[in-house]
Amino acid sequence: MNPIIEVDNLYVDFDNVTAVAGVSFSVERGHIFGLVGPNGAGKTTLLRVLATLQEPTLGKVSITGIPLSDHAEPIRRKIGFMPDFPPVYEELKVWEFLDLYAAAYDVPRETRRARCTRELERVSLMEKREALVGELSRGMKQRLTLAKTLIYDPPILLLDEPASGLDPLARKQLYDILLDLRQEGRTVMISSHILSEMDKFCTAMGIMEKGKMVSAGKLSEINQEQGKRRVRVRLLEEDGVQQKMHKKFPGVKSTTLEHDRSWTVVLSGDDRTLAAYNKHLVTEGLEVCEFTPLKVSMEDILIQSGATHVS
Amino acid sequence: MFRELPLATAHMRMRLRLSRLYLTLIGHAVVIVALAIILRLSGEQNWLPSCVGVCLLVQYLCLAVGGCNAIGYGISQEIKSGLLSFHRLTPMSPDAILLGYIFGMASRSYLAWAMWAVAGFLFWLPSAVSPLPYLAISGMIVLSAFYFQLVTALSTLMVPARLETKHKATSPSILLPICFPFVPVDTIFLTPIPLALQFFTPDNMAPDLRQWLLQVYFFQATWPAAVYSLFLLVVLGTLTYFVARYKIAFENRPAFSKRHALFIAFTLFVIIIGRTMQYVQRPDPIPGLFFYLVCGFSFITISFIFGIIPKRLLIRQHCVRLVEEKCRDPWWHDAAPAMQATLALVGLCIASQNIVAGLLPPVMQEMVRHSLLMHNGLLVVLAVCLVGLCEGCRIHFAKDANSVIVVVLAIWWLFPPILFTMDHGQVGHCLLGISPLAGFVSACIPDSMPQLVATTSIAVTSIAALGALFFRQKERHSLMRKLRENTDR
Repeated sequence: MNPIIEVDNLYVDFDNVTAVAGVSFSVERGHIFGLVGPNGAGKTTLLRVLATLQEPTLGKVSITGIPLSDHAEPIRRKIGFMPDFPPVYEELKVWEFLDLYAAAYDVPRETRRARCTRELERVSLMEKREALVGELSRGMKQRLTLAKTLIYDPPILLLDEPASGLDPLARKQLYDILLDLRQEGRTVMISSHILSEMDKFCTAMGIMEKGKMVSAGKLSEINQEQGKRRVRVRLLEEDGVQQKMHKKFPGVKSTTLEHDRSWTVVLSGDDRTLAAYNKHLVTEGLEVCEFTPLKVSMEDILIQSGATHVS
Repeated sequence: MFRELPLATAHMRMRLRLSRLYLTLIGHAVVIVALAIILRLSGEQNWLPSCVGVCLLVQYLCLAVGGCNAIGYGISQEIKSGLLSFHRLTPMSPDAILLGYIFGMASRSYLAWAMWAVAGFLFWLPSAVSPLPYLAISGMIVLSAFYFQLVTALSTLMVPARLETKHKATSPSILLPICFPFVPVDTIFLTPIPLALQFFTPDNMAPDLRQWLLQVYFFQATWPAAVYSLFLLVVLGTLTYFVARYKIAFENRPAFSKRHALFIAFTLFVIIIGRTMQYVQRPDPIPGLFFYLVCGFSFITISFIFGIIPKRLLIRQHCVRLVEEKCRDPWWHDAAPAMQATLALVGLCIASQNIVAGLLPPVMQEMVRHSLLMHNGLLVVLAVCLVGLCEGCRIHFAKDANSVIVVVLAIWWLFPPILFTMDHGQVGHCLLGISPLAGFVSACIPDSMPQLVATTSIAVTSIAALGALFFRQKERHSLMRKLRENTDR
């Protein structure tokens, strides 16, 4: 375990509202942590606390081992924060906007230009270098803000709903960038409503509801804690097989026939259960032409966690 | 302190793009030329000095009014859009952010100032008089305008501009530089505006200089008005700068840190004592001074009343901590510092003693005055001991700016009436004038008995403090009960 972000019993109050109530979790280095929850769950407040923009009421937060309460300044240099509606200077040119933040983050003057060019190429905005920021589309502004967030190479990224308002193509481009960042070994914490897309790159998740963290951790660990595995089975015969799939194997929780005529079987147990089930199917005389354990989806975890108000 | 100002560079790039600027430049140049032509054609003998005067006035308007408006609007937009939060995340120092805003957002005003300053200089040249006075006044104008820009920045950081016109948001703080030059001459010494914001012409230099050297009494010393104005500029400007800088660094904390709160209170105390002493010693005091004193003291009064009420968030923080750590809930606690309650009790005791003493015949009053002094002194010592006892029992007071300000202001309110018992003469009256509520009552009812005023101020202070404590205590008990119920469940 090498947690880069550790949160312990965090409370954040605003007058009569408790936005975050007793949240505890950790994020390991190099992971992409998906933070999900309905509107008002406290995701943005939590991210703002980690970004040192919001002082907590109570609790301990440490980032790269440095307590937030004592040393906000060194932490800020390690964090790149992108809010859900990133503000921009509409009357600056694209390169001037990046140059401002490169200078603000003490990027040396000699390398500033090269760094700006690198980030503009990463987010595919080179051709808009001389355009005013106000002339860019919503998706381009999001990408520009991401470039601004990456300009000083922070090891930790906190992204609050980065894909909101983007079309599918723009979202795909954004997620490709996030996968590249993960390859570079950076730690990313991202909040979003779009579970199906977050599934593709998140390695850990946290579910928030009414200010509390319902469940948090690596996807595989959460699923193992809940003791369930999913497997796709394709059989040569189709009729009358369901009973045989359930027979004498109490570990089977459900079997569902998919549109492609394969079966999705939910088992309670671990890898041994999977192996035993495979053997059971053969013993029952079923001709198995495919037996593929399925990756745990965030939606499955969400449903199994019992969070009642998460969309 | 900072190697460069990235924000200033960015704002200048936005505001000084040639494509948008050339119209402004041409416009100002046309007005300058038109001014010269009109004044020349008017037949006035001293048309050149008149041009100089107009140039000085426009310099002031560009920087103080135009600059303040640009800064107020700009900072308000940065706060609303969240850009200031972005900047807080960067390693930029608060100085770099603050000065970046001021010089960047007001860059067009500074450019306009430069044009009019050069024009004024050109109009001055034919007079064959040394340009030093003109340069000195232009410099003072920049200094004064910078001070008002700092005040605008601070007020916008604390309360973003709410006045929105169709095209622009206007910060109310631009009223400051507009109003100050038009106050009565005597009270203008309270402001950082140089006295000679009149039309300073070469022909009238001697009498104007004499006026600049008008003596100002300040703690029995006589200072030239210009020096006094500079002193105010430096002192108030430094204070404002540091407070604005603090507010930029810490969004959610009170504007004043402990050091700044004490420094501000002490400086204001010193300035007001000096002005009050001057007022007392003048043969024909001008009522305008009392107006300023009343305004100032009213502001302090209201701040004090709000300052003694602990914030709800502080109460909740304290209660959550108590429940989590399963601490015994003491009567004295962080959210309502024991010192407030102590001072309120002491104040009540002193007020009651003074009321009783006031009912005695004059002969007996003289007799008891010294013992009253002793009693009051003992009460103060008791208060200090009680506070020390609470500290010793680890009942911690809120070590934040609110509590420190409350203590300083409480001392400011209560001590002068207490010290008044030492001397009923001129000094005593002066001390009474320093106490905020006492001064306010004196201004409204000039013939009121000083004793009554002193007692009233102590009593009102104490009642307000106790009232605030009572209501917050009630709220705290209710919250503690709810939290304990949740924990037990």
